[in-house]
Amino acid sequence: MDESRNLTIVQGLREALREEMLRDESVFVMGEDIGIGGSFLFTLGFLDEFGPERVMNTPISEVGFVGMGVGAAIEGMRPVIDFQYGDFLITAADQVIQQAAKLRYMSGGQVEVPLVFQLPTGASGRGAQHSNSLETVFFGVPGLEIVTPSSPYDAKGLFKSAVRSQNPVLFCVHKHLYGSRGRNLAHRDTSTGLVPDGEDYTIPFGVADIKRAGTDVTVVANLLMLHRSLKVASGLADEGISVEVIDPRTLVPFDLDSVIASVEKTGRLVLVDEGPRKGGWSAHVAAEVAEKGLMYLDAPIERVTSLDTPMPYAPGLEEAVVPSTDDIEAAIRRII
Amino acid sequence: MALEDIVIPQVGEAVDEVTLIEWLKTVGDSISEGDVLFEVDTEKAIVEIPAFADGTLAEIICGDNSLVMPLQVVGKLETARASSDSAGQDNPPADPVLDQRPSHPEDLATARSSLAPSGKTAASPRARQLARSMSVDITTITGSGRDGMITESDVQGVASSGTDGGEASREIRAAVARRTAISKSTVPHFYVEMDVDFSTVEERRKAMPPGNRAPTITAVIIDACAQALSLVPDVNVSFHDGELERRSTVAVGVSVASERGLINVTLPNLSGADISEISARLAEATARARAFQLRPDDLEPKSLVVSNLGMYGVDAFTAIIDVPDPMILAVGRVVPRPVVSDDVVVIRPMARLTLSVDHRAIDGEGAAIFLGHVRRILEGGIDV
Repeated sequence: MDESRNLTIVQGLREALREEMLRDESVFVMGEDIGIGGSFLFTLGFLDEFGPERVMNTPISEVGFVGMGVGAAIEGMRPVIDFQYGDFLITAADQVIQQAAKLRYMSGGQVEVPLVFQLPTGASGRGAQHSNSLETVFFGVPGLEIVTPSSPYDAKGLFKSAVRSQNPVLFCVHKHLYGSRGRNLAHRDTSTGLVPDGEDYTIPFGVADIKRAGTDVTVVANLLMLHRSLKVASGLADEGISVEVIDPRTLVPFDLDSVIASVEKTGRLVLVDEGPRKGGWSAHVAAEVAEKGLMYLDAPIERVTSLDTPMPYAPGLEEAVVPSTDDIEAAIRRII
Repeated sequence: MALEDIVIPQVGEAVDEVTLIEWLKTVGDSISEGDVLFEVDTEKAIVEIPAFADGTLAEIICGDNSLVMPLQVVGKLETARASSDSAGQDNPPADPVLDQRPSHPEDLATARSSLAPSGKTAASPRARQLARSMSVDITTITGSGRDGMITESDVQGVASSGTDGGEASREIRAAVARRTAISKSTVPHFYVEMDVDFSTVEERRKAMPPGNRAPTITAVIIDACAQALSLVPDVNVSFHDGELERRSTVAVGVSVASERGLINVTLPNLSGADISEISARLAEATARARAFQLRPDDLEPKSLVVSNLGMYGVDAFTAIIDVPDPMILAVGRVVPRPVVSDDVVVIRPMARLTLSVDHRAIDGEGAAIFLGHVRRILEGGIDV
């Protein structure tokens, strides 16, 4: 592939949205300040290219514009709603949980809600109200699809699938992984990468990706934690400890088969999840593996999560609460 | 009444010697089951060893501060149980529960259960399933997993060995697995091959005076490698932590197939050693490796290992470098082959040598020069 195709996640997302807007006239985007690109420059240049009817600046009223999005989706449009911080989606929780997630079911399939939420997620030094792991908060809500890409390649392919989905999709990208101008980009070595061109490129939901193959222990991680896990796996390889790192890519639907197949091989499972200790995808996967793959386990399942506390503002305390590479390495060593 | 052995149980992960620190009872003391008899130091913890039955301490065989092995008998306990010798006599057991115990306390299970009176064995589901399928009693296994949990490899180790050499062979297997995997995945290997005419070597071996054992092919090749390393100091190096290190001495290893697995033994400080000294040291080192009684300098780093599979009829093979060494030399069999000499086809005893080289430490030219010297020395072209 052309080296000029080495992109950041936000560049991959921008390509995906642009290709989908060119392909399908029913696709439009709305959100706060998106005329100037939005908080993470997701829609940079879109107002000029597509005009104000398809690139709609909204007032600061999440309940209002999410409700408008639900209505537009019911009427046959495919809205993409850009959030400055995913945390603000909680303000519109009724529209998401009670309307978007339930209407297809409650109407017996008479209406569908094809709606994508572009949600910056996770902790990035902005304090408790701007650090929620949205994928954890909404994980237990039936009727939502939840996507957590960790690479530009995945982000583009999954975003195009999200736009084409007939269900509401929470598209959660870690704030440290966008690679937007002026923003911190963590783990640049693994969080940028080559991205395919062309509108036929999509990645289906519910298919995990083995980001690093190994034989001794299975690590399942997403978002920022995936990159920390890859770094740990690379270090442990020097000692001969072979770590398999699996990126689920989508949390709903979740590719449990790939995880269990890997555990059958390695006998050991470490789940790394930036969400708090209680609930969330990693607790669910631990329970599923205990039910369906118990006899493959050669050690207790380890979960590495944030502490069960609102995220502290002080950088040193945030660092202590969120799983570090040391925490991940220690969990692997406990069971290896 | 029976005089039963008091044995050192398998304590924790300790596989080798433990120290019997102190007896807390003296000969003649009356003992109740569970009384602490003595303490052992496993290097990780001081462990109190309780009595497995009521009785009288009859004999102390290993005193305080002695080094002892797991399962070694360190004393005798006079118990009220029927001895196995008198099992057929009408001497009813004092306690029907005691009677159900194994009559031989050296049974590992008994020794372990005295350490874990709760009777619960922590084992992973995977280990339990394997133990069931292989009919291995999981309570007899020492766990190596988290919090002492028994893992699949613990069960495999017991199932494959059953003897006191099992732990060692399992460790060697694990070490070979680890080291070859690291080498093959992190060391950029390249290979240089040469056919060597062994006519001169064969003549010299035949010319040995009667009564003297001729040096083995392996010894002759080690000798040639040691001389060549002195002639080509540029390959007497190793690449370690991103740095090229030069070696000041000449050390050559040899692969030995011991009963418990592959061991590469080092012959250090070979500068100035002649073939008879090398032969003698090789024989001693090989014997130590086979008996698994290695000394620290047997495992020192080396410039290359000589791995000879010629005796199995192998013509040639490529070997995996033993990190952090820079090279390994794979030796095929010496066999008569037609070769062209002075434009005539003649039959010569030939062998193929294949040198695996770490490209981070040594380039192709250096490897070729080194192997060329080895060949010329073996063919008698260089009289060093």
